Amino acid sequence: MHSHSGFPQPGYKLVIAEKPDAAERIASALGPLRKVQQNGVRIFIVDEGLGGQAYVVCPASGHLYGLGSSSSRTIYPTFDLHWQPLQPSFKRATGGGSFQRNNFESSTFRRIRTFSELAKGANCFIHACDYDLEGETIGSNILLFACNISTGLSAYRAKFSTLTESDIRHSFSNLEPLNPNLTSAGRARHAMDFLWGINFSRALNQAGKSNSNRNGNLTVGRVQTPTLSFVVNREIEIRTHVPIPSWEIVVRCEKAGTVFELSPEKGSFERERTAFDFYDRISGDKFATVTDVSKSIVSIPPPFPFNTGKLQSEAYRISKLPPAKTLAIAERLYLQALISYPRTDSQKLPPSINYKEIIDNLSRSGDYVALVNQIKGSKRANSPVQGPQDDPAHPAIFPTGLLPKRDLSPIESKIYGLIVEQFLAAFADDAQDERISAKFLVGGVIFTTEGARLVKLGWKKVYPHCPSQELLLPPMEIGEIISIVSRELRKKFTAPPNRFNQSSLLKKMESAGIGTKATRSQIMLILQQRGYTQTLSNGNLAPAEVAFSLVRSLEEHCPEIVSEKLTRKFESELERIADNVLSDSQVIASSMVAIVGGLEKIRSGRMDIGLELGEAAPIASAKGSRPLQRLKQSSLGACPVCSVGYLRIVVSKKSGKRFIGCSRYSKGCRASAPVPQKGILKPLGKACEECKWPIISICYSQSANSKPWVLCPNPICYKRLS
Amino acid sequence: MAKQRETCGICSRLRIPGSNYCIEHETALKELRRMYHRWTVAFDGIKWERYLDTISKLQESGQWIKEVAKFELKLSLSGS
Repeated sequence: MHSHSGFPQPGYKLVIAEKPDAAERIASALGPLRKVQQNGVRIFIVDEGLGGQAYVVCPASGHLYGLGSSSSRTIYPTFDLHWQPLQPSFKRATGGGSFQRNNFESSTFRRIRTFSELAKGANCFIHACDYDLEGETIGSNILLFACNISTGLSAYRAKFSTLTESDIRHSFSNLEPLNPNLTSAGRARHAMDFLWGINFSRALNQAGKSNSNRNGNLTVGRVQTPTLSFVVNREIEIRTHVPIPSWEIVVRCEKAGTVFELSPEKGSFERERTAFDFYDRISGDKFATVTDVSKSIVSIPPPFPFNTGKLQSEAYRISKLPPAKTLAIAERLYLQALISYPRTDSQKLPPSINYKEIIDNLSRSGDYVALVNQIKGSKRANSPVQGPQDDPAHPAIFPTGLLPKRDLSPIESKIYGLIVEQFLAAFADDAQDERISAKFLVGGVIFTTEGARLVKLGWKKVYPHCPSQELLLPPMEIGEIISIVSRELRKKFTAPPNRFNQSSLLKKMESAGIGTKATRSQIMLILQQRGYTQTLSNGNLAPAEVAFSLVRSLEEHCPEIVSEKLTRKFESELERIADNVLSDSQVIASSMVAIVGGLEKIRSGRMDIGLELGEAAPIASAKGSRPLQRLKQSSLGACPVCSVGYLRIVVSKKSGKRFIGCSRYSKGCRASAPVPQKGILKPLGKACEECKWPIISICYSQSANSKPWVLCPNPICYKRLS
Repeated sequence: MAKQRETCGICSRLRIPGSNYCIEHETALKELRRMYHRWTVAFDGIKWERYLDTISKLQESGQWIKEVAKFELKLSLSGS
């Protein structure tokens, strides 16, 4: 290990944390901590922590390694893949794909180097990343590639569901051996998705060029494409909806100032003539006779504890918060130790989380004392309602009871409040509704009505986000005659199904068994970013024209790519790797067989696919969707020379040097400008006052104190020359 | 050899063989025909043109259904 002032002597335990915030929480739970910078990475040192041991806690920053392939981008099938350090993420901002060539090492490389250096002085490694497939993959890759630990003899796993001191100390006192099955499942998922994505995307793009001038960049994903097919097929249902007529008869009665509606017991009418005949029969009657009244009390238990999907759908329903954002906020709350791990399938709250302590702690907060008082004396005080779904890794989402150390943002408060209210509601009594149904005789025909009245609020006092649909009826007795105030014959037409919104699409993915709790919201985001779907003003999702062509073409030529069945089969096989029933090589091999079969179909149908995909290209561009939108996003700004194209960073194939050029070079625009070869280049979103070229900034250091160089890139700009 | 690009009578997509329409509008036409029977039962007989006219004006009708209904109505009225 590099000698470094303030470092403990070699022989410490190296703890791998998933994120810097988690690293600090873990270190502070283990003992008094010191912060040290190494290679620009903040690490946390506990000289004498739990068990008198020295700990060095080093954070990753999510995935440090990703899959790559060295095969040419036009070759398929390719099964050549390897793990490699992830490339810097600032490529996009500079408008091109080849800007790793700069002076400074990316944060990823610095973290990897830090792990490698710290590993040399460690006698024991503790994998303390989030306990799920992604966390397992992040930590095990660092152990394997950065720390060179593959045997697992000196490596252990710390499992915890909250970042509270007690939970962390308990997990570090009860370290477990690494779980190679979970690691294999995590790596297999990445490998499968990678192979699926690059092979089918390459095949489709080449097919797209076969019989048309389509030059787009279509992407296909194992989960992404079946999800897109849900949106497209729903849109087709909506656009091909033929309304079917029906007639319903409504009789309005009035008693004691309350007006209520009666409907024929037999329901609505499918034929116009029958409806009119029926209506004629009752049109002379001025009274309805009560023939039957029945009352019942219905208990409504509290909603099940939140798992990831339910939290996301409730946040969307109540606050219209996109699922990906909800998960990101929940993740922040978890890192502040305010809630348990938010990526869970479980709807169960086990007694081991210590309900009483959490509720007692919540009652110390002024915000929740009133809610806690509501559940005092409840029959469920010691046994909260439990849902059917379970997750062996984590319980349902619950508040830890710790109070926030800083003011939460309004949106964080909203999500935190929702989690607390739902948690407390799980301990509250059932709500109760009184349901009344009554039958009437009008013109010799039986009519019915139903009413509902909330008689006991129960958990609805604590979780007030499920309002009751009350429909009040006056008290009635059998034989009573009630006056009819009006009657109506209504013609109705069946409505098309609703478009998916982010919440309903998430539920659809869940019920179809595709994706994971952590990836579903990301997949929806990717569909949007790639221009396949767009969010309408009412929050509904609509597919772009290119999505229709893609899904339709794939359904015809290679239905397995669109099929949710195949994706679901692979999901279950991945779970079986984690359960040690199947090996990762078996599952990847079966996925490779499916890929080869699918590619063969695409290859044989490539002329038709090319034609079908080609026809979407002009539609997509004309509506300003993906290709044009992407060009705009990645450009520095509009070209002031031709006024049509966009200036962007181009890398010369000959010299490998970068310069600014117009996107309409092939159409004759020769606008170009040299730029410095080093440093991160960013457009500032404003134009030079003199020549209207976009102003750019060049940053030579990633430190917050460094000042960027701001300039107009136009070499003949008068302002620049002067 | 590249196929000859004949476009749909309604949009710029490719026409499917033996039809006036692209696959989307052809699907809509099939659905329109399939549901005609339900309408004839509901109204004790309704003429195809009246059915098309009503469908093309209903808010609940799908976008492709409306487009095909208008197009078919035009064809029907022009006698082709």
